[in-house]
Amino acid sequence: MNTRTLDYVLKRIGFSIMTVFVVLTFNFVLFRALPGSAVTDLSRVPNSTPALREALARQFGLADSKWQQYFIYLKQLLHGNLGVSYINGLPVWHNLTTDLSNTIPMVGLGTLLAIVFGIWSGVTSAWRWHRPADYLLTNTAIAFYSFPTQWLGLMLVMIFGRYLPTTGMNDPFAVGGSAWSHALDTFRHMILPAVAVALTLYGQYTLVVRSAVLEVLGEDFVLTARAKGIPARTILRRYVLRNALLPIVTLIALSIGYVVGGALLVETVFTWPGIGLAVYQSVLSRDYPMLQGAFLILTLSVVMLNLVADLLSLKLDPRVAE
Amino acid sequence: MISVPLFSVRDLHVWFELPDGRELHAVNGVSFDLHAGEVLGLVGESGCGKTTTILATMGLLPSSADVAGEIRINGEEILHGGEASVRPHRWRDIAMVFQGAMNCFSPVRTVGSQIVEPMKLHGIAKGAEARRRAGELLEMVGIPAASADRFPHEFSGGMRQRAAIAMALACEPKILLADEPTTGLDVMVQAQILELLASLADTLGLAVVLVTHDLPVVAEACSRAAVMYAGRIAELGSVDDLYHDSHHPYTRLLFAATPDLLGDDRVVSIPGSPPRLDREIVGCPFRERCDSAVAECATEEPALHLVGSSHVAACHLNDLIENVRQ
Repeated sequence: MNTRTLDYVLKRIGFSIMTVFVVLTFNFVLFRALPGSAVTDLSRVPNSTPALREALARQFGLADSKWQQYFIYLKQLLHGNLGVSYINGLPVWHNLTTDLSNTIPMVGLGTLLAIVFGIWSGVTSAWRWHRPADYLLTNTAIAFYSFPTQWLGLMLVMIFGRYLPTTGMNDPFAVGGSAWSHALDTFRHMILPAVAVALTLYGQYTLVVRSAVLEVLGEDFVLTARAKGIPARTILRRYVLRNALLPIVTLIALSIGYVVGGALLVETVFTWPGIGLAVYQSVLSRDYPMLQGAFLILTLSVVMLNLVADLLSLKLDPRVAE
Repeated sequence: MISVPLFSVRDLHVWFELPDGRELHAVNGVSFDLHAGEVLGLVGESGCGKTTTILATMGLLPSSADVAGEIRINGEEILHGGEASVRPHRWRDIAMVFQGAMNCFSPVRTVGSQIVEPMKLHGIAKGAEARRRAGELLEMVGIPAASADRFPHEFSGGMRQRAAIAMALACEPKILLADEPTTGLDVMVQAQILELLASLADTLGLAVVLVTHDLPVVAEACSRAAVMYAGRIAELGSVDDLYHDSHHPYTRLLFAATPDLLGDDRVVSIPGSPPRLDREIVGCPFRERCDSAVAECATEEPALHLVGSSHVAACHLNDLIENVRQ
């Protein structure tokens, strides 16, 4: 590792740490700037008295000044304490790990499908540029890219609702049964939401990969490779894909980063008990600690994977460090 | 000369079908022969079909192009069998230094590995032997052999250009096509590269086609030159003949349009622009810009006729003068 590479790596790491800190602060300010507060929501019971509201505010530490709250928040965060959910009183960390363990398989599966099929159709349409296969794949991709996610989810429910479960993660009436049949049931529940996630991402992948590949195809070194007598398939692999990899790797890293953010719209449509649905419900009930926690995890994950993408591109393209 | 030419292009036509059904004829019946050790210049304005001609000879035009004619290497026709019959000849017999050769290396692989690649592919050498050869080639063009392990972006423009020539020589080709190999380089590097090409032709017996729009480059590096206009050869002959005894008004005007550092002749410009190639050309394509067009030029396209020993030109004036003389 020469000094310029080291310089690059340190800069990227420093930048990532800065980003995380800024987002932490934003998370704090953002939810407190929203209209309404946890207390107004919790105390929305008949005959709530000012005394009750005050007691609640004190219980959740909302009576202190905003600055005090901010420093307590930072200090507790350093100790790994994300606070307690206002809604069910359980540690946020506990809630989030449950939600995450539901989200990751479903959104992960959808993202994986999108990556595999998106790269395939992006490369194919670029390779068959301005031929029927290109028109078909590109237009399909544009269509899926532009459909609103919730509409796409509802269409899936309408069309496939007869064959596959459309709500929740498990059949509530399937009591007992082996672990295997339980896992199979979860998988069946996972198919439609995962496909919805895949379809939303698919268009973007196809279009990004196609334009990355097309750009490389026009490069002089591809013509040179043909002149050298290298077979077309080898050129595609050794020259075109290798050089188009940079934007593709960045895109993959980003979408993996967003996996932990869940898919708010998809999880809401299919009532998948993941982190996206939890965020949606927390917004409705002003559950600050939950929101802060969820956003923290999302931030850390996206920033981390961005960093991974930056370091990978260093490996993939020697020019990056320059 | 009776011997079979090393490289022979016969009646090459290249045309593109346009989306509206018309055709664009980029190259119209270009023919030339080349022997070992010869450097042929291909000169003309931008868009006259120089690059299209040499890309066609290697079968490298996009699939939207239609190509007709014959390309022979040592008498063997290479184009008619399609991609499969050209591919073995590429780089093995006929290699190319591209326009913008600076970008002919993939940025993510070392220069050396890209020079070695065609050697392995065509079974010339492999492993340590191939790497040693790559180092030798780089030294031949004035780059330290150790630089083979460096990436293209670590080279300067001139180095990349020279490395491109080294790569072109990897399989000891018989023919080298060089498309504007010195464009964008400073004059000193340009002179080095031309000198290098000329000496390679000399020492390796390489036949070189040098495509350029730069006449001083032709004068410096070529023995013969073909002047192209509107996808046709207007005049072909030794560089001396073209300069001192040109038989086509375009050649004459082209030389007059080149500034001369020592002479105090006024630099002339050729008025007008080349004809559009997507329309049928009746008569001589140059007549509208010609300073000595006659009536025939508007109706009949002039054919290439011999005007000296191995010197041909396509101009009605030559035929008229010949008639008068007889």
